Amino acid sequence: MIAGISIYEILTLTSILFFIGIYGFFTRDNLITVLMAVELILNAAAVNFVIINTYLYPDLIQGAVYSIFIIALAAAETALAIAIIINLYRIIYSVEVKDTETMKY
Amino acid sequence: MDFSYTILIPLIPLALFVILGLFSKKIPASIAGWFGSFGLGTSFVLSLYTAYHYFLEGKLNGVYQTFIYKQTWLVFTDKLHIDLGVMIDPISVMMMVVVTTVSFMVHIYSRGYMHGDDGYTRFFAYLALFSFSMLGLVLATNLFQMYIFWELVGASSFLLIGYYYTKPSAVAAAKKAFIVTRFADLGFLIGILLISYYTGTFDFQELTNPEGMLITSWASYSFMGLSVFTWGLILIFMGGVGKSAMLPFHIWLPDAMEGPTPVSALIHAATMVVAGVYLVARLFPAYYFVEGGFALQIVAYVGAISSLVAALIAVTQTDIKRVLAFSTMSQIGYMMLALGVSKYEGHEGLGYMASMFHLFTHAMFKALLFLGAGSVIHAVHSNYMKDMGSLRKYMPITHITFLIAALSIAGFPGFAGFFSKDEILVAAFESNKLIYYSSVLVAGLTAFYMFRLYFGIFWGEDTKYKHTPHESPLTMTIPLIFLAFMSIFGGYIPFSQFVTADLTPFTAHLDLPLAAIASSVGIIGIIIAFIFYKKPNELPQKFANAFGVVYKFIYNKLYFDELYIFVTKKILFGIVAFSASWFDKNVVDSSMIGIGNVTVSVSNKIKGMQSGKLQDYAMSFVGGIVVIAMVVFYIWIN
Amino acid sequence: MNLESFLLMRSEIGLLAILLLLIIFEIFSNKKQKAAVIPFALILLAINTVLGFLPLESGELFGGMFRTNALLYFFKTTLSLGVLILLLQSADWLKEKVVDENKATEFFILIISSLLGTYFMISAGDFLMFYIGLELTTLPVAALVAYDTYKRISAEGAVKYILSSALASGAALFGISLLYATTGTIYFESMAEILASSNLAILGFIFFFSGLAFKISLAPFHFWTADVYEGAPINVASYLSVISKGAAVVILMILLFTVFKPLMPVWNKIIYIVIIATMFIGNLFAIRQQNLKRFLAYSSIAQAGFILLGLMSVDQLGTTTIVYFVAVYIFSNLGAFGVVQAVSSASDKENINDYEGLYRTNPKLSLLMMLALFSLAGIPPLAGFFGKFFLYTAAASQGYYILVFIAVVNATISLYYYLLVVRAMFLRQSDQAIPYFKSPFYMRLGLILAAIGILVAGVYSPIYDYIFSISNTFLN
Repeated sequence: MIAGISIYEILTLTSILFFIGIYGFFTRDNLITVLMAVELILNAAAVNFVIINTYLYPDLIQGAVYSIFIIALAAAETALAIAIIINLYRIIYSVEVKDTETMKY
Repeated sequence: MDFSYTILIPLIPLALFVILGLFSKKIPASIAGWFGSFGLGTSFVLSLYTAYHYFLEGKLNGVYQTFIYKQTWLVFTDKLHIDLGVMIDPISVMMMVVVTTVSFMVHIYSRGYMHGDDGYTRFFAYLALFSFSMLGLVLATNLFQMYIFWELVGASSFLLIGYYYTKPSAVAAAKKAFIVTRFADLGFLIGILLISYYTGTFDFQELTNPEGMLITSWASYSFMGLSVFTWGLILIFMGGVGKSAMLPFHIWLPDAMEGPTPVSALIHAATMVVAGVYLVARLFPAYYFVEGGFALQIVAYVGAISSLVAALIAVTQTDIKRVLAFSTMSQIGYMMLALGVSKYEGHEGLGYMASMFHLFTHAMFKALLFLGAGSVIHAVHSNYMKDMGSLRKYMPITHITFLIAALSIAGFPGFAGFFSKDEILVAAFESNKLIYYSSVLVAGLTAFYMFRLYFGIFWGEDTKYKHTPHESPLTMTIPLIFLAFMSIFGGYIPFSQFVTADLTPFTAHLDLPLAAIASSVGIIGIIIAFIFYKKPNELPQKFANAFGVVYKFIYNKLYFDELYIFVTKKILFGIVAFSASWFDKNVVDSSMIGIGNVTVSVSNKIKGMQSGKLQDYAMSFVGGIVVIAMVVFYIWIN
Repeated sequence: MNLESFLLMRSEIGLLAILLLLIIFEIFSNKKQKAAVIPFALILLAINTVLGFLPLESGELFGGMFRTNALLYFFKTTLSLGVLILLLQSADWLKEKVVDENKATEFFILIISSLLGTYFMISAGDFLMFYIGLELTTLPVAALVAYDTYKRISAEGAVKYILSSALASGAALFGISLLYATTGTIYFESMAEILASSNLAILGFIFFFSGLAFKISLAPFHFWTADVYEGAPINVASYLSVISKGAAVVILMILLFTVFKPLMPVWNKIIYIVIIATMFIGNLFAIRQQNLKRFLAYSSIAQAGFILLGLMSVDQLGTTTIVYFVAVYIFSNLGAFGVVQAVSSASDKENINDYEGLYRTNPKLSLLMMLALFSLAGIPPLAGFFGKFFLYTAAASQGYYILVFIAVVNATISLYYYLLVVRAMFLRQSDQAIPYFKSPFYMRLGLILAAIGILVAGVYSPIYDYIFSISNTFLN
């Protein structure tokens, strides 16, 4: 618990973080930055878990454990996504979102 | 008595299908034909044997018993379960005989007709599959089993109609037939769901038991003024309308004539198209007793209107198979209206009996007409009347048998069609005069277009043929002769002793005044056809002379014949019939096609949604969440 | 808790053992021996599948994080059988194209890890286990989508899949965090007791639902489906449409019927709309497809709409119909994808036009394809018909007649495009028809098993009865 800061402020912060992530996903041109935006979304959720745990239900540590797993899985996800993007780069020499549109309709 | 062996009757064709279908490349064509015919022959003999035993010994205290052999298959609740099995009662035995007879004849005939065709073995495999499905439908013990085979019949007819897949029109027709009937089956399926949900059973015996609880206690739930049971029956009838090509779902039938002619004889004359009639007959007590027979009235009017419209359209067609197609539709309309006007007990159930009787005789003479037409097409290599004429010289057997069938369908006294049609007219006369008059008109029209066809093919001008037509081989003419025999003598079977609504035999008498009216209307139709389509300078034969006298009589003594011709040809056929066929082609047909086109064009319009852009997909993902959340919070929660 | 109770995880332990053995094999085999991985992995998985038919008690482990019962166990065995068929169908493709690149073992390892993920996901007793299972299901498949490393569409499909699924799991996690905020627990059982219909809980549910809807590809969360299926190797597309979708449907059903039961008035309206949207979108897009993989992608979207009909009936009937339909759907889709795979590896052709005249040259393949497509279309007496029929009854039993009507109409529309393929095979002829080919042994075995599955699931009623008898094991 942080003195002087209530849960409302922190939840507002994580919500903003979440929607910045979504905004970034919508607008970035580069696949890597899109991936970074996804990380923001995941981190917003992770922070949520920790905060809710500490402020509302401090006697059990479910939320904290959950956030550790989120961090671990997000790392795995990022590693895999980077690998896939690098593979794409080796084929088309580009990591632009607009170059991934050959399949449609 | 034990009829459990009847399960073999559908299983033999199934075995044939599996063998012929899987090894179609290894089995030589000559063996496949024999093999198929032999298998169906066995089924045919077995069903005759069953019929003989059943109708002779199947009665208990003067009432025909129902024998059921079934296996429970899926259980929903204690009451609601799906069984598979066979049900032996008068109509199923009768239908079984019809199906195996026609199918056997078509098998024999096809050995000649399809000779030298590329996919000979495949053809016989499809025929066997169709026969199996149709027999399964006929012998079904419950609605659900019937529905399963109903769809199988649709699927196998899809394969048969599209058999000539080099012709794009055949493929289109096959698809149309399948989709249109499937669309109608929507109603059937929903009807089954409704009925099974409220009555808790699929079983025919329970559904149709007039003393049972179901029919008396149905009325507790109602929707738009009608009970749920009635709605269910109407929806089920919708399925029948589709399969039996009644208005407005008839549009697939004329197109389906693109299939090989033996297929038309089997599917579109004798078996699949009467499935709708059979379905209503199967559930007849339910139709009759539930809510004073409201659903049954719909059956009667749909039958009557279809029968009239189809007869009018048939007058204008030039493709001989299309004439026969509309004629089939018209005759099935007859059967439907006969069921629709029927009552339940004793002699009052005449319509029911007449409908089944007509189903039987119609199967014989219509199969004969189709097979005869096939024989002609085989010889001339064309479907159009303008390419035919004077064929009686070249094809004597086809000619005589075709004539017999035409006389039979026209209701000429002494032929099979005369008796069954007379019973239908009597039943209609006793219950609904409007329907009666329309049926008499249809009788006249039937005679007219059928003899127009007959004279056009076998008489008329001697068309110059590239190859001199010759009589078909024996394997094709034997079925013709057999069916011709049945088209004459089938009418002398005392049907009311065998097939009745309440399972109790009664004696039906020929109603002479009504019979006289009907047959004279028929004969007038024949004479008009004679005047229009038979050239007067070609009257050498004895048969023609008889008509020649009548012709001269009309020509010399009645000076208003020009007026008459003007009225009939210009007004009746020119305006009424052509507008009917115009309406059919442009309004009914194109609205059905329109539904399909709208689907495809909507599909084209929305393709932009799938833009291929990752971020658009993400937006629709988040957008989906937002929309759902807004709907939930602003609309449902408040 | 004694050690024997770990036997409740028998299927998971089995899969884990297979994974370890495969890794050991990969380390200690030399280049010539690599090809032996195919029979080795297949036999191991077959043994595991057969063991799955042995009965298993129900119970829970790790304080309720992991739980198992007869229904879940049955479903795991079905999934394992599905994966076995799938691997049989891909074995020859691996042997010809992949073994030389020294990548065959990783294919097996990735598929089996993903299967392990689905096991944990449906067996989850809390949201943490669920999340881990979900990610374990997703990540290996993302790698597999990119498996054709030299193909552009494969890489593109993988990028789309991994990024959008990360977004989806992010949204789901955010939802879970909100649910955690309202209830203070992540365990299903205790959450079911505490959860009440508050605005925060509903919002959390909507976020969470979108994550699973993404996996099942329900409209409007479905857009990735077609592109990813088209880009991925055929067997991976098959895996996505069959195994990962089937497992996601089952866990969604379990969660909705237990944890989210207090929110039922809300979620069944949401499901109602989603069903209609999904069926129409799937069908309308499927009509215009030429590529069979894309075609099957949209068809599987439409099928997902049908599956959800069962959710409208929150009782034993609903559960039974869903599990039964998913099982049937697995076999039908495996049949269809199997044929596409067989044809593609023999001739490299994937378009509907290329199938013209196939019946003349390859009658058995065409018959199987027809069987599978008619089963998907719901033509009796094939399995798919009963599946659909039971779903209709489930929805109708709760009085959703209009919904059933719309579903039946959609079934008819779907018949149209399934017929397009059947028509191409049976009623068209072509000079460039794919010539006759004899599929290799594994492929034939895989196809035959799929065909048997379609026929048996449709005709052999004890399967339905069995599912019915076990389907109340989690409903109380």
